[in-house]
Amino acid sequence: MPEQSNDYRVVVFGAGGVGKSSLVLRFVKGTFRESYIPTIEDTYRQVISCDKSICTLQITDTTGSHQFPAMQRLSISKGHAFILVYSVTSRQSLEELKPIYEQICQIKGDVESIPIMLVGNKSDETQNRELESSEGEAIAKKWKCAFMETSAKMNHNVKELFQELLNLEKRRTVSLQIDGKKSKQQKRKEKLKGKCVVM
Amino acid sequence: MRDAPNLPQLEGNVIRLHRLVETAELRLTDGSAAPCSKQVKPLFRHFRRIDSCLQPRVAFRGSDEIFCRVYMPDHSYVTIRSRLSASVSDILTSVSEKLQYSEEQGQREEPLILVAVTSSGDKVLLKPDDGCIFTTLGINSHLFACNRDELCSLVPLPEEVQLPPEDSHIHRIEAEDLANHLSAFHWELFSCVHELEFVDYVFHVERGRRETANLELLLQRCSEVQHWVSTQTLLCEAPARRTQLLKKFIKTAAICKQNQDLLSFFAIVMGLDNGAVSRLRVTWEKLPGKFKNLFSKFENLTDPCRNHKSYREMVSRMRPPVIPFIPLILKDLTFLHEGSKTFIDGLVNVEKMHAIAEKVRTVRKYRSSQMRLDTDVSPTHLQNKAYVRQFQVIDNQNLFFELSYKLEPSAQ
Repeated sequence: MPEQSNDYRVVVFGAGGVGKSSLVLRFVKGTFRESYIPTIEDTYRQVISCDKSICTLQITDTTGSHQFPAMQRLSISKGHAFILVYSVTSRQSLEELKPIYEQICQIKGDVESIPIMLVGNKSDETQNRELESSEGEAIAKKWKCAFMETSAKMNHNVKELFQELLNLEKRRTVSLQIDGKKSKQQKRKEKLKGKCVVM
Repeated sequence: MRDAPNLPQLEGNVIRLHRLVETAELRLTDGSAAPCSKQVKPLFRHFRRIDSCLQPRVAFRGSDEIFCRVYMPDHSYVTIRSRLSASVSDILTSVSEKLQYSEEQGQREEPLILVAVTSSGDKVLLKPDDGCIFTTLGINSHLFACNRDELCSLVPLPEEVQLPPEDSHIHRIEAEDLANHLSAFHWELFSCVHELEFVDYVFHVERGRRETANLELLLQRCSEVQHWVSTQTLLCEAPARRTQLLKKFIKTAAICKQNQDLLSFFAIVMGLDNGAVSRLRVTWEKLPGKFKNLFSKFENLTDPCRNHKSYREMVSRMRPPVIPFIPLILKDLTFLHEGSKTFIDGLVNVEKMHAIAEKVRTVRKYRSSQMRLDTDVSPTHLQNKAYVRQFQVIDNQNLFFELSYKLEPSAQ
């Protein structure tokens, strides 16, 4: 059976309500909404370039509550890169990332070769800020991962976040940009796909 | 899942999508939903947790909440929380909410449609007021939400079943354990079915409601076991092992019959009778004569000729507890229902009602005493129990034949 080895899987973790889905939806669909719907598990697929060919970027948006430890372990073991999101308005949400980071270390072993991005979201909420960006940076240094502050609401640093994460991947070249030639092929493929097949 | 063979420590925790069963408590961390500590039952195949699949099954009600994955044409998916009885339009509302379609309504006039896509690519467009659809889906079918013009471009998800490693669970488990775990699980599922579900299933047009989830799950499981038997046999590449496997399945069927679990018995025999399995001439020839004879006896018992005469004789000799072959009860009920009118000149056809009640009463009789098989709690026992409750199967007949021809090419 065909194995989808071509997929590059990014998993987004973080406490409930920090804006994981908002970041993902802002990136994938370019939309933002104020209302809150707790996520159980969603996965979005996008075509990106990888080692000069096309591959699928799979972004898995996980639940913020800790009710499915087995699901979490599976997501980690299947994931190639991780985004750990906290909200700059909640110190607690940064604390909650620690066990997740530890679990990634435990399952993946050598974390230094795995792209991990620590993300402080809601950077637009200056009034409610509980954490300075220096605090996030310090944790990122300790965890030997990259760090960024974002705002899904203001669309600040969202695309950069995903691009930066892919840049961290050293085992293959992955990029959001698809070079011209391939994208034409892709377009053609999509065009063909859109046509009805009479069996 | 594909990594499972490489990660033995994870094997037990492997969550396969598209499988059934088990209960989990959803404790939402946000304040708004905090008072709601209601149980959410992840319906089949959507979430599997080893710890909860070991818990005894509880009957489903229409108001129960379940998790369900809905796919997009590009195989992205969202997981929604839904009542088991939710209508198709309710499901679509949750999906569009999640995808934030509501915010761009200006540009988006076109409503989404919900489609069930089977593993072989067959599509069924679901009507907006259809309800309780989750339990009616095929084993490896998925729900897709899309625009009407995307309908013909929908492709099924890639098959998730891979070649099992040489020492896969099926080869390690003893036929007796296999049979007893099957019977114990099917007894649980059978016990969850309310008598009225049989009536509702057949009379759903008149009764105007369909709360038959538990019955549908049992039917689904019956077909799952069938497909599992075919899948395991066809995924076994070594010829000698394959013959061993046939032996094991025949033995298992025999013990299920002894347990008076005729549902598992039928399912296993039908799985072995699948055209793609029965055509493996070389494999069957290597089977010892004793097993060949036993199997042909079993085939006689499941033979539908003379309205399942041999099965009916066998079951009439059994004393409760019995797990009957449910599809036959439904067939009998359907004949009773369609063969005579419910009202004659505005009066109720009492004779018909009596006949239906009599048939439903046989179910009561079969369950009038408890089936007890499951007592051991050793780790291997628990592993076996979890294995039996979470089969991974292929339900695509074309793929079955493809595998079959690879194992034994046709003679010409």
